[in-house]
Amino acid sequence: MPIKIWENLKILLNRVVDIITQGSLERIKLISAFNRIFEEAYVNQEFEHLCTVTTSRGVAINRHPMSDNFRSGFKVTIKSEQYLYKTDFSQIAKFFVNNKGFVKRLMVVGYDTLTILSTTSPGGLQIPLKDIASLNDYMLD
Amino acid sequence: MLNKILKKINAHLALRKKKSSLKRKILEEDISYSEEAKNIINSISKSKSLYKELITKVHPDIFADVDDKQKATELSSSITENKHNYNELSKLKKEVHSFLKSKE
Repeated sequence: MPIKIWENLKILLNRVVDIITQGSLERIKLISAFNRIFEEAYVNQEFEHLCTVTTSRGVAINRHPMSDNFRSGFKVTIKSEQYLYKTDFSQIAKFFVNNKGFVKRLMVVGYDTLTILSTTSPGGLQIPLKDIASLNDYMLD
Repeated sequence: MLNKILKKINAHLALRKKKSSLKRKILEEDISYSEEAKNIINSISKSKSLYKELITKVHPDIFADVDDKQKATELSSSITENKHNYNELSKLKKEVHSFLKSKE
């Protein structure tokens, strides 16, 4: 029970920080939509792992002109009982990074790093979004 | 000194304006976050089979005519490029079907 309360408090604080740093509800909408769809997919057995999405600390070297100053990581946590190897992480990452339109949308709401982690396996992946899609066409630099 | 500060403030405000207009432009696109998430799930679970289905149908070696071969090559490369994107593959499926229908 105390763990559940702590988890909910963490989610609430994360949301408040997202609203303050972005000045809009875009991140909240994005994260809520992803968590809802991922949960539905797991329940309907369309996807074997339950995934959750949160905002995390980014990586300084991945910064781009639209990066958020404090929290710029888009973290996907795979809640799996299976052990996941590096190849499994890259396999899942492909489906996120092969959608350049989506990556651009992540970048304009201040994210600069896509992080994929598992609750049971060490390792994971951190992918710089600026390596996948570019905002240079818009000449922000 | 004051001029320098004002210049910096102006530059900062101009950049901010540029950023927010870019943000609006990209976020105004027609696709919702739920659709994006659904596309990722569909891509994980269905794109592999759809890719295989499409790529075998438009293999350039199947076609003898030069124009058809050219079109098949273009379609094949688009299919390979969007191998992990279910929405794009679904759009290409329609294109493949209309191309094959025109051959009948």
